[in-house]
Amino acid sequence: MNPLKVSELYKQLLDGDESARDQLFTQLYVSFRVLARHRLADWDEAEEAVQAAMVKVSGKLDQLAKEGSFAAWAHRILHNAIVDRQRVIQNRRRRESGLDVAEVYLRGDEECRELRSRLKNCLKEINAEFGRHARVLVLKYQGYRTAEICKKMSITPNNLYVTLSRARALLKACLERERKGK
Amino acid sequence: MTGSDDKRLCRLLYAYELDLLDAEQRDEFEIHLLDCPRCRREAEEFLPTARLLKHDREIRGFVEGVESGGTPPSGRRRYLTALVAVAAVVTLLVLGPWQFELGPTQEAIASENRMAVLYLPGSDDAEANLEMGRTIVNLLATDLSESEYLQVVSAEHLSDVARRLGYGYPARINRGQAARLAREVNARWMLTAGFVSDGAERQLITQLTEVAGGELRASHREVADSSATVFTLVDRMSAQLRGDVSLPRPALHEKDPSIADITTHSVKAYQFYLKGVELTHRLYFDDALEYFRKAVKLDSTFAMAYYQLSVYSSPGYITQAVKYIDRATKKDQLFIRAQNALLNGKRDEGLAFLSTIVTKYPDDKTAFFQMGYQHYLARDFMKAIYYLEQARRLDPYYKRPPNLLAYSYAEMGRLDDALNSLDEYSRVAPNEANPWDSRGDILARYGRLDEAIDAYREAIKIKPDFRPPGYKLFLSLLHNGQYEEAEAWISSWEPYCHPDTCSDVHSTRFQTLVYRGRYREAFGYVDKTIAAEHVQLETWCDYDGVAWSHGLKASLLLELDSSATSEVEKAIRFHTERQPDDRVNYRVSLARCYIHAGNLGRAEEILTRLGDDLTRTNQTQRLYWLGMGYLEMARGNAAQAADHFKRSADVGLGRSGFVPRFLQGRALLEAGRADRAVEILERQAHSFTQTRMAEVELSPKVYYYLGIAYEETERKEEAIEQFETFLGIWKDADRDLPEYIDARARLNRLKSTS
Repeated sequence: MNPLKVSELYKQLLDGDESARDQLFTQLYVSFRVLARHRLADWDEAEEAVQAAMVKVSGKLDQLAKEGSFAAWAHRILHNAIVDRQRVIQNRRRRESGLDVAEVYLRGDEECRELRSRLKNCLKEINAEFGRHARVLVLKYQGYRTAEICKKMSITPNNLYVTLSRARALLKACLERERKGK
Repeated sequence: MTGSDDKRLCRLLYAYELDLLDAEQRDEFEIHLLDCPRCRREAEEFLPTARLLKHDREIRGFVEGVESGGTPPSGRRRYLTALVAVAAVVTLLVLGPWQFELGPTQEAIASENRMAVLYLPGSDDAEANLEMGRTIVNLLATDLSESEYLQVVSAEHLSDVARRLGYGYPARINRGQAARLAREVNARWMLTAGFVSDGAERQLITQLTEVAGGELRASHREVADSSATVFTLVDRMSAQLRGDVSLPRPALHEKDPSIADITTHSVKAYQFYLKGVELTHRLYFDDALEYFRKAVKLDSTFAMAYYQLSVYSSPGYITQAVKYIDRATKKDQLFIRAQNALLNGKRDEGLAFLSTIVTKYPDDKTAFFQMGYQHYLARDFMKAIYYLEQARRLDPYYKRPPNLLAYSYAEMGRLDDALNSLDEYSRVAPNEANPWDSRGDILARYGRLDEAIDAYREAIKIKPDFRPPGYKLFLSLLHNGQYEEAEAWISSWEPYCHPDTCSDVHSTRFQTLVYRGRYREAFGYVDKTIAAEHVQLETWCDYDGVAWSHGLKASLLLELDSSATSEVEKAIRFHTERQPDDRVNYRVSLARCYIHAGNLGRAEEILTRLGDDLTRTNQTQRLYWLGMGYLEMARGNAAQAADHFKRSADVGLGRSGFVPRFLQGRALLEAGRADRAVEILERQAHSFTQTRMAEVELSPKVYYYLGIAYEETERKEEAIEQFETFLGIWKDADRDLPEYIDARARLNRLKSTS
């Protein structure tokens, strides 16, 4: 069964269904973790941000105005927690070597090595029929923003998103194929 | 939210995962993701892949390689490619003696696209902004230099030329001065850059102008909030600029790595590095080292800072430079490889890498200089002079070639040419201390101590905290018999040091006393030096200083034919604290201790191991032959000993040859070859190299042994003169020293029979 949306669970809670509370927190925790891990390269820091956000949500849930969007409210809390962690990381990096923490982690991780190898094969494979993907990545690496990438590639942002969506599907399928192949 | 909205947002998933959404879109998408189990699951599953795509250096390199039209080479393949390039250069070298043929393609195009990148600060810029602006412009020039189709004039060259034109660059110049500067360095393009930061926002503004017609070709403004690094600003700007300068199609496929990835991710570390480099160009190496050390402290993966440390501090740092070589520009990688090869005794390979640099980057005077320097070290002074002249031709304002040219000419016995080179050096570095310091060295080497003293004084006047000329001035005064001036000079240091830790003052007083044969008194000062170094050890962890002071005492004890084992062992112990892998330093002294104790077998074992260690670490056998000379002397094989000392002297440069030459002279005397001893010792007596002057226990004895050599070859007048000189220096010496007693006896005998 597909999990319920957090807004639906919140609605159930507002309607007096206390059993929805635990489910809401579980779903929220999982979603927060995904978002935080995308935003923070260091997953330990991501966990810190999630914990801080969960404490806040838990403490303030009952004060939330009923008519507001629960997802937007929860997102704002997580966003603030992530920004706090980013500040901490930036200060630490200033004090220390400046090395990207994620990079240190990625270097020594066995799973990453295996995934890296599959990813290389797939990037090569999809590049043969879908060269734009690598081009977007390279421009992103060079620090270009979406509008600039679109301008350089003479495509609209919508084209870019569609292109990326397709590339992702190809990449995902290839990674799965490679994994099974192993 | 509608179904179509959901669909639209789901399509943004990969853009979100790659951080390609702006803040507003991102928030919208994240709120959607909280409420969309399907997107959340997708995002969760893809997390490790997204992380690799965003943060993994290897994947990034791979993607860049794939995008530029092929699988990127592996590390090994890249190395092989470099070797092929090296082989090609070696072939070129074989074609003609030291002639270079520049490739007609990239290099030619690059020289057509010669660019001067100049910093134009605002009139009211604060000092912090000025420094950041200079840093950014340097990064921008470095980033643009990565293109093989662009020839970017080095910041150092611009700075030198600006100074000659009387401009304050890189401090403040105006647009007119910038244009003049660009013309002066034969640039086709002038890129001026300004930097504005108000705390919340940073702006990098550039204007690209064609120098010949003054036509403005492009103007750009990159803005970033304070959370973006300056490296991002530079990367963005550099990518735009490459499109402005009509580069050929292949240039579009060149990799454009992030500037932080090929320098450092720490701005402060980069600023320390730049400061260090600037100081090395002014030849203030000690000061420069401080900055390179600070740079690696901030960024422990800063390859080029390690490279500089390997050049100016300890060769061991090259290991770190090689380890992080991927974090250096293409050109810098060649420098690191060259240095690594040279330090590992692979001279040909090192020179081949340097040749690759001068072929690919014909503007790079540093590589020409390095080649000259390597030939200088190999005592091939003709070739050294050739390459140094090339470096000077490339940049008449480059300060290092005339300096080394002077030393090369001096080694060849061409004093006039050496002094001319020094005049040239003074012209390009008019307010710097080092030309005077070098002049002092060369004049002292030719026995002109009065003039050398004046030169050292001039150097100190320009830069009072420049230590080498201060010490050399002291040694020169001592050797010129100006003892009171030498003492006054030492005393002038006292106010600047704590009485408990002033080891420099104690050690120089010790040297004065040893030079004058007052050994008993000298022991008091060497003990003070040792005590001071131990105090300093607690503050600065200066193990080498403590080791050195124990070594100092040991050398005096050995010279007095006393046991020095305990002092040598202490020296080795403290030195090993600093360099645990070193098995070379103080080993000759240790062997001498066993020789003194009559244990020649043990001494030979130590020396055999020393020879092996020198071979293993690709060093010359200078110390091995020196030790073997002592051993053969103890065995009574003076002729054999003289041969060993000669071998030791022959593999070192002139400045490191005093001790073995002096010992060779002594051994020849013992072997009954007084005529040959005269030749050797005469040359040493008239030359005041720094090494000779620092060997205070041996230096005055040159006159004593030369006196004996003259006496034995029936040159009585000259013998008398030498003994008088010796006894003049040792006027107040301890009366029981054997050389003193013997010299007096010989002098009296000679005088009574002449």
